[in-house]
Amino acid sequence: MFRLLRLKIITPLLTLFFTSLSFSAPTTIQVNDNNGQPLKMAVVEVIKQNSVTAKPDPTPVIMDQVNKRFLPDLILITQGQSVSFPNSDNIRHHVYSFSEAKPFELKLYAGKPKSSIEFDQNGVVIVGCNIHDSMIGSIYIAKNSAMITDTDGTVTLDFDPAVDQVSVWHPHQVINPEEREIFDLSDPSSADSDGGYSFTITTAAPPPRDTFGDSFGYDAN
Amino acid sequence: MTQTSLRQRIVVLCTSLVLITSVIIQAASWWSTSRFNENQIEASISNAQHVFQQYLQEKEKLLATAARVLTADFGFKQAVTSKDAETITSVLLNHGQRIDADLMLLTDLQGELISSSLPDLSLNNEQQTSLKELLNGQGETHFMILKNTLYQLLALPVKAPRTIAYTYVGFEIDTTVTNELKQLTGLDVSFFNTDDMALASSTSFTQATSLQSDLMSATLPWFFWDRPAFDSRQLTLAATSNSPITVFLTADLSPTYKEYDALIATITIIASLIMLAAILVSGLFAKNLTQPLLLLVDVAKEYAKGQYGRVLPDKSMSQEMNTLFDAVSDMGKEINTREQHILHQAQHDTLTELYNRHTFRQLIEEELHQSQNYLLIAINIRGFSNLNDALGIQVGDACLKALAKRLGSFDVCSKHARLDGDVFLSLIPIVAPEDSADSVQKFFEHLAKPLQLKSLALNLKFWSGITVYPRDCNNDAQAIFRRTMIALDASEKENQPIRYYQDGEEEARLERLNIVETLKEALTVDDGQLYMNYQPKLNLKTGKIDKVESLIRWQHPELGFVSPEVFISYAEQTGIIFELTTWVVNTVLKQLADWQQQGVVIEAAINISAQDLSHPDFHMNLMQASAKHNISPEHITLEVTERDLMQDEEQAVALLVDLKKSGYTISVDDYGIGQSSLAKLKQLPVDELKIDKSFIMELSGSETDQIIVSSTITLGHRLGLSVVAEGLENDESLELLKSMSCDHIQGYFIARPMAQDAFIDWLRDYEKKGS
Repeated sequence: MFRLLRLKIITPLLTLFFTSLSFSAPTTIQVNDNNGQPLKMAVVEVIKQNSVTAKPDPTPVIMDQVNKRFLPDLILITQGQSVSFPNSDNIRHHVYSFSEAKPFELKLYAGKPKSSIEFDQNGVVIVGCNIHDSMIGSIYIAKNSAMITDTDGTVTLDFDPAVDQVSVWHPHQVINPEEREIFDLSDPSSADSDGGYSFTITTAAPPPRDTFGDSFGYDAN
Repeated sequence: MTQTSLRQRIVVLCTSLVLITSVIIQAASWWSTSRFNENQIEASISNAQHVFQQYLQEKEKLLATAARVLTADFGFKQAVTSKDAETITSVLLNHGQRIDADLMLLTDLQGELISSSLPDLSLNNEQQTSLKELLNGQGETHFMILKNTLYQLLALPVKAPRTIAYTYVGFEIDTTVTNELKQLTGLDVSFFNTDDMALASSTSFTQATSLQSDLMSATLPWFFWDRPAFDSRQLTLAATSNSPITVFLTADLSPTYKEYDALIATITIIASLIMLAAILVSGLFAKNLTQPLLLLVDVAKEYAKGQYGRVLPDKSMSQEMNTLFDAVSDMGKEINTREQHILHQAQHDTLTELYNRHTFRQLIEEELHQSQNYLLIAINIRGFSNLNDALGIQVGDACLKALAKRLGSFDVCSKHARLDGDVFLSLIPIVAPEDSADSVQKFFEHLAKPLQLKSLALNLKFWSGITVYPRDCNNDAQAIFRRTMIALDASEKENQPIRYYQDGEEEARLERLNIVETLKEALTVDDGQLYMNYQPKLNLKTGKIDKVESLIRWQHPELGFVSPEVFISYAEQTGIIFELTTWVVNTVLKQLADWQQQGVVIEAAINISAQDLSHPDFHMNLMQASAKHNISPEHITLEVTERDLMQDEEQAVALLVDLKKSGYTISVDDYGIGQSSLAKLKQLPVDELKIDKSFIMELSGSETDQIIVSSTITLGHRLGLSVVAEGLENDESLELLKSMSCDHIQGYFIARPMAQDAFIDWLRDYEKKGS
């Protein structure tokens, strides 16, 4: 809340002040978890004021289902791109999502579904399988340039810190899984000494998927 | 009577022992039973608690499982994500009904209520906080109150597939649940909120606000105190922190009490029966124990009365009792023996084994009531004191013993007693009074044989007094005893070895005693009953009356004239002669003083007795009287009879010497008939001889008397004594005495004894004639 409040007050001032000086340059952003550890698999997106959505790649991105898991369980796509959910298991899956950005449902199917799903709105879509509760996948639909942190928790993006903002999202974040946390780059506390930025995302280890098996003390897998 | 009987004590002891024992046993059984009950109740409550908790866990599991299945339902998730409030509410209701849930809530991730199966449910802050708290323990049920209803609530995330909302599934805890729990646990189950208000309860109480205190404080009256009606255990349920829920597991104690009371009643009845039995048995035992004691009491009472004949029954009693009975029996025998011994000693003379005085008196009293003639013979050994002196007391005692033995061998029917010293008394039955002489003779013949004491043969002589019953005395044992003793006294006095009691003897003695008493009184009163007569004595040398003999007379108003010989003799016998003499001395001296005042100077002779001479105050009294009346001792002649003088009392002789020294004249009265020796007479301080009147009265007609009188006068003169002739009756004798040179003469021829006034008249007349 504090951070957001600060943004609301400070951002217009900074914008006025730095407009003539604004320029874009590749900058490293370090994302840590609340324990200070580098956080991988976090999606960092630059929020431009006047962004122009790039033409999406027409080729659907594959989110396979292997061994009752989404593979990969996190994909980063751009707005308007499609995702295909092929089923590589020999059992059926019922992939669905109730996420705001794209609620959809692929009723029980095996093999490749009839069509891929197009994600025309940016945001986060959490997908699951109705009959296999442990299967959780995340699809990040970016409007601007975005990247997934590597194992060091870093990404390098082109943005203008005077104008642009940065949003960070992680599948295990504590806040609403569909919400993206927006950071104001003018905040000196987030600026590193080497010209980069670092942000902290509070995460929680995903609780084990409690199913019938959990409740009765035996493994459902 | 504060004393309790042995029987009572035994009964009380046994009963109290049984009472104490049964009370202790009762108390112990009460205590252990109630302990057992408490433990039972405690155990059942613990068990119920266990069951209850198990129930809750199971219910929680079932609830959780059902709820999970519910929340995992795709349609449910779909409806939840539909954002359509009515749809969501309807799905909550619908899905809730599937698992019989009474409450379904849906909140967002922040805990804000999205929808509820309860219409119009609005949560206050507290409740919202509580709901959020539930999220921390997902899958665990909590108890929570919503709209005044208690729910077992379970919070579960709605995952699509990530948590997008939370669903709360609640089951209402109502009476149905508590009744079900009651059936499971066997105890009443009540749920309370923070304010101790009942939310649900299986109990029949209806007041929700006071239920808890009712459970805690309800009592059942029992005799004098109240017992708690319920035993409750309080459990705290998993609930939200600001609204804790407590559960009471309540055991109804009344069935337990019923069993307990029945048990106690049984024990009490048994104890009472035992007590009753104890009273009966101990009463019986005590009776068996005390009956012999009562018998012993009777025996002891008989012993106290001196009856020792009772034979104690040899009952089959305890060994100790038998021993006691034997001991008492022996004691009775020994007491009897000892009593007989003591009685014998009390009744008999220790020396002679004859009856003693006391017993013999009683014996006489008993015997003499029968119509039987008896002789009562009292004997006294003559000269026994001499025998004792000569042969010693041992021989004397042996003599008494031998005599007793001799008496005992006289006649089986006779009884004998030793009174004291050497006086024995025998009671001899005879057929008729006429036989008494024969019996007495036989008796003394029996005693006459010599007593053999070892080498010594004693011939005893006796004084004896004899009475014949009932001739001498009828029906008065004391009197016959007394009369026998009077006869015995008389025997010795009259020198008669065998002396029968003579009729009237005792009366005479009594009269004598009466006379003496009266004389004493007359001396004390001195009212003229006693008076003096004076008989003149003529001095033959001068032819003048210069002496008188004073003679006492007694004229008693009732007895009349009492002879001086009689009362003087009694006075001598009873020891009042000194008082009589003193009276005479005083009267005569006063008279002499009177006469002297009248110009008549005359000497007086006073008769004194031997007892006067042995009296220590006699001389002093005489001197004082002389001084008082101013009479010279030379004017007083003391006449002592020849017999009294010869009694050889040193003290009397010494007194006579003193009297003579004081100037009194000593005259020997009644001279010539006593046994005076001239040698003795020579030693005595005598001034005068008074020849007995028996020589004088017929002097003129008897030559022998003339020789005796003449020679006596000559002898007296030779010894330096003056001589008085008494009993002069005629003129011839007077002339003879003149010729014999007798100094004084006295007798009827001169004058009779006269009262003082008559004497003075006579004297004046005589002197007139003579001159």
